[in-house]
Amino acid sequence: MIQLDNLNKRFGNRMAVENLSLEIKAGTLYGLLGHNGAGKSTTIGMMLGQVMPDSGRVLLAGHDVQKNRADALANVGAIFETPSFYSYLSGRRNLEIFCSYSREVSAREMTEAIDLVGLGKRIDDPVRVYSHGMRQRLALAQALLPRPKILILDEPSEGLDPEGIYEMRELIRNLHQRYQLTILICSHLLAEVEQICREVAVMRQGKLLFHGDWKAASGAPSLESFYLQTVRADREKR
Amino acid sequence: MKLFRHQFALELLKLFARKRSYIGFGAFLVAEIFILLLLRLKPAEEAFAKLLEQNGFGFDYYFSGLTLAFLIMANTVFFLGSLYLSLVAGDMIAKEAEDGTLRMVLSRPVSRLRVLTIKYLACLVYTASLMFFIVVTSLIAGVSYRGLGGLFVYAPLEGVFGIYDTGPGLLRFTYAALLLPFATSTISTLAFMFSCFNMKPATATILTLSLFFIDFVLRLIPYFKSIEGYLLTYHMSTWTGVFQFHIPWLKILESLVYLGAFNITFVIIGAVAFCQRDFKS
Repeated sequence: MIQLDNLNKRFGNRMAVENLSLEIKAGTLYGLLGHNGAGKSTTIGMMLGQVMPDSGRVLLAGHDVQKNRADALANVGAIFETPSFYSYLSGRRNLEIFCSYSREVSAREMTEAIDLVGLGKRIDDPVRVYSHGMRQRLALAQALLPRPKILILDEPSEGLDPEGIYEMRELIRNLHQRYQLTILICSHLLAEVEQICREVAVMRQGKLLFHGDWKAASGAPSLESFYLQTVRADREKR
Repeated sequence: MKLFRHQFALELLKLFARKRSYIGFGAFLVAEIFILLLLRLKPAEEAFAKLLEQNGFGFDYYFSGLTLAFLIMANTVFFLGSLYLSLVAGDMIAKEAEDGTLRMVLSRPVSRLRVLTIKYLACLVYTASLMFFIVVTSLIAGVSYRGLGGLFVYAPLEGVFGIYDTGPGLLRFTYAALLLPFATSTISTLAFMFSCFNMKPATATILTLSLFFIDFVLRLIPYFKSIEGYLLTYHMSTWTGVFQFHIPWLKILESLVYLGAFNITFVIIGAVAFCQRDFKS
């Protein structure tokens, strides 16, 4: 469903992503881990056609993002680390604007997505009065419209309070079970990722250190200890 | 096509729902009222009466709403217009890139060229609406102060001098209203081009205004008379030509072709930059 082939991206002197190859099968809930500057956001940027790779390619549902952007992104929904909206417009209007760049979305589809993220009563309020949690929910609603097969979530729980984090986790789990979506989550919250993802990729300084089922591959008691072991081993090696 | 129209309508909604888009409209209203108030002062009226009477024209008939409207337009469109057009056009891409909303749009299955086209068209609609607003409100302000009357036109830099009765005067204003959006679209396009590069919205605006003022200063230096045909501001002032007794349609057309060529060049440069750049948080 998601295939990255030998991706490379350099910003000035810094190699942001180096020879990254990864395959994520359909229906998987996959975690992308790494410290700040590891290359996660650049990788997501390349997946969504926002960052041009120096070499390599990204295939989404079999379509090359660089060559066939319209088909590649037709079934993809994404949210970013800090979701941005037109704050002077209502949540509903924002959804209309973003969705208009995919295809026409019926009123029923929109209501479904709004209800799913629990924004029903506040959707016609201007976004400027939304709390951070509500903005995250709105971001998720826009990612779900029109109904995608792949969800790419960059720090979906960023800035949320514990209750918000729990709700977001349940929402993601629910979406995965209900619609069999392929979901890629990029997060710093290892405990969160551990609860929903069996398969993860670990990146450090632009390189892929590990990918696959972390539990099967290691005897680590938690994702956090597995992550730290992996990253430290790479640091010592270099 | 239906989807394109829908996207374009939403782009306009986004543009005109923003308070910032109306700063230009408000500033022009204030400027118009301010100029009219200053023209009520005795020394200003006396200077105007002297100019008219030296040329053998009656003050009461020609110190009219039409004349005042031209005075307001001639003195505000160039500088205030450029300021607010470059402010809004400089925001079109750069502000959305800065805010992060453009990343949300570009994560959709839409080509960058299509996004750019929609935004540029919205930018042109804004330019046209601001220019129509200036013409209409200048006329309303002038006429409500001095009534219709005749039209006396004097713009030395553009070499325009003319005198008309009410009907022909209003016809010239209609031509001006139709020409102004084309003439000023180059400023919007220039700011839009800068907006496509990886820079802050304010930088795009400042760069546009800097180029505009440098161009204008070059035009004022008599030694550069031979190159004025290559200057933006020379062709942008083509709209004043419709106030000449014999309208130089060929010269106006030539200027419009130059401005069109400038616009196409700026759009192509902007599109290349926009399609190649990376969008990161």
